[in-house]
Amino acid sequence: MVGRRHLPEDLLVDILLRLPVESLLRFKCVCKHWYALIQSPSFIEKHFHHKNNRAHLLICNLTMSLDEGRSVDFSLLPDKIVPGVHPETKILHQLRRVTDFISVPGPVDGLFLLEKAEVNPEDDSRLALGNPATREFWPLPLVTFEVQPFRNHDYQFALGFDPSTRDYKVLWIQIFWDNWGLAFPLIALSMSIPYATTRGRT
Amino acid sequence: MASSSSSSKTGLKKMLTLKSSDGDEFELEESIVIQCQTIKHMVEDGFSLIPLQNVDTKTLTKIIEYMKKHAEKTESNKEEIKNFNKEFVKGSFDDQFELVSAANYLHINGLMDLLCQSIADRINNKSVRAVREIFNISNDYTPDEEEKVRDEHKWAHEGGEFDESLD
Repeated sequence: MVGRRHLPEDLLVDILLRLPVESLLRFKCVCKHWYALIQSPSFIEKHFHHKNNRAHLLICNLTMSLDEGRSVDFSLLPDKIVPGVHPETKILHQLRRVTDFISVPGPVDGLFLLEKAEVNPEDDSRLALGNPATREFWPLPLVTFEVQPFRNHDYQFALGFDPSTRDYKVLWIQIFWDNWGLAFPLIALSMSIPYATTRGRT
Repeated sequence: MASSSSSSKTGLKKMLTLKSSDGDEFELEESIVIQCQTIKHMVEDGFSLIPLQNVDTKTLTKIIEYMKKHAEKTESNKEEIKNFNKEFVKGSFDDQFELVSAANYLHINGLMDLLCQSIADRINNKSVRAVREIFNISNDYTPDEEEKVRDEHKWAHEGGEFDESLD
């Protein structure tokens, strides 16, 4: 081992960029320098856009089991799907005890937004941002927004990235109906989430 | 570009000499050597004896072997090149690191890509301890700090057995 040369930084980066997210998270333990490198937004961005780290098909499924209750599974479909053969899926991430969810907007840079269908008074969040590749999951703080004169409304959530501020934005688009059935669309809320989150392509 | 057109005009194969850091000289056809961007630029500047202070004879021999093979690349021998590449990356990590550093210095993009990918594939399933040994890195975490980092993504450490071997 003595006398082995240290690789220049750019070569080390070139090698690490080719590793899957799971291995990179493990190799954060190698030393403090590797930790800082793998954690850095510039490395994450390069990794995400590297030609070898191409996207896989991801499916999201709400399942019920007697022991665990309900859970949400994020699964990856295999690279090649051959007609007539049932595609075996690899479960990437399972969120346990999720009672329900309506929609999963995304991905934006590998991130998904999960929305709970029923919000109970004791719930502390309605939306969560998830990264299936790193298996990280961030509940977003509860925000309420109501316009008084209108009783009924439709709504939809959307996820986006604002390159000018380098923040992720959650948009809450609401459509209000008045007594005559006229609709008033409103982009009601824009919530910012800082960019510095570990991401990986799924 | 200028150099390859001039050699085709005369019809003669222009030869170049590469000199390793150990002082050994290798004479090669220019058409083979211009895969290497660093040398190509020197040839364009009129050099015909090219000293490579950062590349020893052992590494240069391997790199010449690679360049010769890849200069033969055509549509019909893809499989042959693929097998050659497979054999080429079979050396020890030490040799691979020497080679990749030289390929980087010489700017041979195809070889860089081949070696970085092969090193990545080989360390992908290694244990953290094996990776430290392979890259000659000393662990600068205290046991508590390391435990904390491990806990950040516990699942990534639980994917079964990791390879402790150093080759």
